[in-house]
Amino acid sequence: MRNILLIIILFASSITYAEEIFKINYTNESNVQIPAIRKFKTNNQLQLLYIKDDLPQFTIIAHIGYGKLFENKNNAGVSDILVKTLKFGGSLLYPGDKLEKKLDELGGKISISSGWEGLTISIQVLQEHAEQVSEILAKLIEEPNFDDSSFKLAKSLQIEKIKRSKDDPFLLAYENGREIMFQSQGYGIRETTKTINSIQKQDIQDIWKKYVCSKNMIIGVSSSVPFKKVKNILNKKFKFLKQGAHYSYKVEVDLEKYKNNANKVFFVSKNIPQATIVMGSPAPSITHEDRYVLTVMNEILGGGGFNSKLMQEIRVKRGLAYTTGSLIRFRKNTGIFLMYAQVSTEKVTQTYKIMNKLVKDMSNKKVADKEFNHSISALTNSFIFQFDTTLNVLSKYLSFWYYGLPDQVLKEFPQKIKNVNKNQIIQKTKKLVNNGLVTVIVGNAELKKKLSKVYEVVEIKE
Amino acid sequence: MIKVKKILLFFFITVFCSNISYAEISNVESYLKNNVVEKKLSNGINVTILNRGYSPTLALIISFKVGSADEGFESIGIAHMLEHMLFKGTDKIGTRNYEKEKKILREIEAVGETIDKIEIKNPDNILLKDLKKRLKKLQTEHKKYVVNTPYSQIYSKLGGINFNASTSRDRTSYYIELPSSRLEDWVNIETERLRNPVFRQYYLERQSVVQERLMRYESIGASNLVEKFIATAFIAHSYRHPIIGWQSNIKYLPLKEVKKFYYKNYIPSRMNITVVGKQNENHTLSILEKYFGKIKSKIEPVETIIKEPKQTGERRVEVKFKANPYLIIGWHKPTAPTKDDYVGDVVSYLLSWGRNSKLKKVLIEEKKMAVSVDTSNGFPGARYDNLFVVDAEPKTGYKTEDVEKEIYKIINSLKETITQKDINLVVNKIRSEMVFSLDSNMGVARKLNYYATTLNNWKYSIDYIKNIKKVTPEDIRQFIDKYLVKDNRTVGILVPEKK
Repeated sequence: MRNILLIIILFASSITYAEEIFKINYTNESNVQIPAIRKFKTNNQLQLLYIKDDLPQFTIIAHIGYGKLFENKNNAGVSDILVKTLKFGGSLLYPGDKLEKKLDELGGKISISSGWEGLTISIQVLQEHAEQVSEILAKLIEEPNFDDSSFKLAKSLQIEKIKRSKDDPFLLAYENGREIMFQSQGYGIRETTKTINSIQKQDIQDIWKKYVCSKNMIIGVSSSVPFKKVKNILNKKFKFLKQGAHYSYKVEVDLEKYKNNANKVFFVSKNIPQATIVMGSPAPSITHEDRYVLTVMNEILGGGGFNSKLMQEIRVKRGLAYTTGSLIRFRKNTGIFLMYAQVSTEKVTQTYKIMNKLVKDMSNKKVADKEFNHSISALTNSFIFQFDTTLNVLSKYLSFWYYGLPDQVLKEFPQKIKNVNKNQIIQKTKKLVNNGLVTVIVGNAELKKKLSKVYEVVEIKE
Repeated sequence: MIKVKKILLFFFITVFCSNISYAEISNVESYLKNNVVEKKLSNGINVTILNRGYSPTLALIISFKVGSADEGFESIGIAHMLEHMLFKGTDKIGTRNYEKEKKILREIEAVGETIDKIEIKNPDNILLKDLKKRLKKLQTEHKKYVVNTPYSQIYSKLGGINFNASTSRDRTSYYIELPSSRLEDWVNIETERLRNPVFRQYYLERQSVVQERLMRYESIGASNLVEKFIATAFIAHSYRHPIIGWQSNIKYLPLKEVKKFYYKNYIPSRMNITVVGKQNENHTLSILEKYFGKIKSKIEPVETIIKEPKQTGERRVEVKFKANPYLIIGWHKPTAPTKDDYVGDVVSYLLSWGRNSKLKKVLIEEKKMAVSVDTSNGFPGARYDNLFVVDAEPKTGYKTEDVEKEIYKIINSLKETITQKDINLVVNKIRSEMVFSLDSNMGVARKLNYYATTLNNWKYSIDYIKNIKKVTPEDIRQFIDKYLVKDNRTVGILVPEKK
């Protein structure tokens, strides 16, 4: 008995050896001040968010509630075509390249992009040009110039982009993976040359007419220009907006179809010496009660960089890969969970087994105290970085508006993370992966032969 | 009652937060000049500090003025390998019992070195099987003494984010962002990291670098081409080395060379530390001196004396890959802070900055020959004379040669069309961009550290606008006539491999 105790003491002391020698105080930061956001609604119900910045600049961001998740199998890619046409077409006031020429004169820059849930137009200039640029943005929204040549150019460039995405093995695996997981809708929407070619100019005009309205839009400003002035400018410039409605999208996954696909290995041939493995499943939405638990789970499994299980087991301990990890994204009405690794062809089977085992263990066994505590403190102690720049803070509040989340969700984050326990991680991981994970592997012909001996392999022709 | 309290609390927080005062930044050059503190520690380490922002966080960078350009022919990839190994810990960090671990590490190194020597000569040598078994056994035994990824663990607990490092041809940098209250912890950890690094798990890490090479260069056609392009453009200078090493040599990089490289090059006089964020500058300086000041100075190693000879004829390189076509063209030119380098910057902006830039306008919008086109002045490094580069993705239906010809046409037409107004527009945009770039701690820190390390002068950023403003249309014509000519160029083409 005494010997056993001695062994336990020696073992325990050896585990803490490094930390005892090198003392570091790990107490959490408690005084975190979140910069103030000011809110205002114009007379026509357009929501404005404002944050004061010490830099003599004016950044204005318009976020419109229409994105890729609103698309369907037939018009996949229409939001990309819309933003590209807008970029090239400009507005009736500043058509074509005159828009950028004007901004060049002001020393400003513009970015127009489409995301999963929204279209974003952002313009940045020095503070003295605030009113001018607000006018430019307002006119771009009120009277976009969707001319034929910009529309044609947008389509041809998008088709080229689709072609080039097949050069990247990770993109190839990821895009096929989400298409299969979500059965070609929602996150599974995949644009093709055919869908792009089928898009008509009227389609983007209709989208603009329907979705660009004050109840479906929000404006964010980060600037040294005082709030009162910004309010007045925007009230004036955006009064043209009709109120409209707030729109959302639906995602429905056929569970039987999903389960059927989850037991197979989907394979894309590419003659390269390194293979890419992507595994994943749909995940809950951002308002779902499970999101904090799954955030911690993801941190432990693969989101926590070098400290995560995937990195440790695949790269650090075995040298099998340079890049591996996991991610989880929660959106308004959907979410996605992914794990990935890029390894030499001969190490794929070994790596795939490790990935499967790790996620299975997360849904069956309690994680070790060290891993658990480490992930909680990593997430809570780095919380301060969620608002380290005014633009970061502004982006966060813009997304809260879209998701219908209350402002205090930011402040509540550390405590919600600390409230997560190990049993919950098991339960929620089990729930997440209960129907299996879809797997896509991109690799060469030799690898396909090898995998076919062990798994049901379905080849995808790209 | 509770509701009233909540309202008062909210009001208090809002008022408190909105009354936090910041320095108004009206002129970036003056702002940096008046606020950046630079100091040399007693042992020669250069330090640049900027107190900024409202968030109690810091961006911290340590750079060494050493990269792949400092490698010898036999040790290509060693600077990058060393960067990886500096994540493994010391005799105090990353180990459960260094005294016991030492012995196994020596054996691992001996067996590993023997395997490499034999395998290079004869991969079928019958001794290899047993030696590899022995190595695996030693590595298994070693595991029980190792604390994996020790720094990541420590820094995550301290609330650190973006803990990483990078190796370029010119320098190797280690960075992180931390709450300001963790400054002394960071200094303590980093000085410990440099005091006595132990390169444990070397052979495992070398394997993951092999995987990194496969991912970055063997699986992506454009990257594969760029690597060959650089090695063709530079026939003598060490800029031709791929930072990661060649496929054939990474897997045999000797551990003892990594150690030698560390001791020779990671010295105080080659070190630059940058700290940007909310801080007390005096406190920061005293902490840095207290810890980093203890590192012993060493003799500065001799930098490479090999100069790239003048190119006297066009060079072309082709890579066949199953990918879409890609084109890269480079011309030799002097590096910063020469006058020609500033001119090169303006040429680069005029050719590819923004939709209305010459190359983008013509190739993408007017002639619709390309999907993308970009330029870079100062590729692939800036410590030595380098390249002015244009790269483009030809659109389906257009030959790479046609896009290439059009690029030369556009560059030459710039000589006729360039006006002072065009240059003024560029200056205006740069000025705005300088203000925007002050938005984040890490953005500012990267800039200051880059100039301090690569050009030995962080003030390059202050003088930049002043020097760009001096560029005239005639300077641009002369730059194009002198450097962007056929005999001075290298062309790289990715040819899509047919099925």
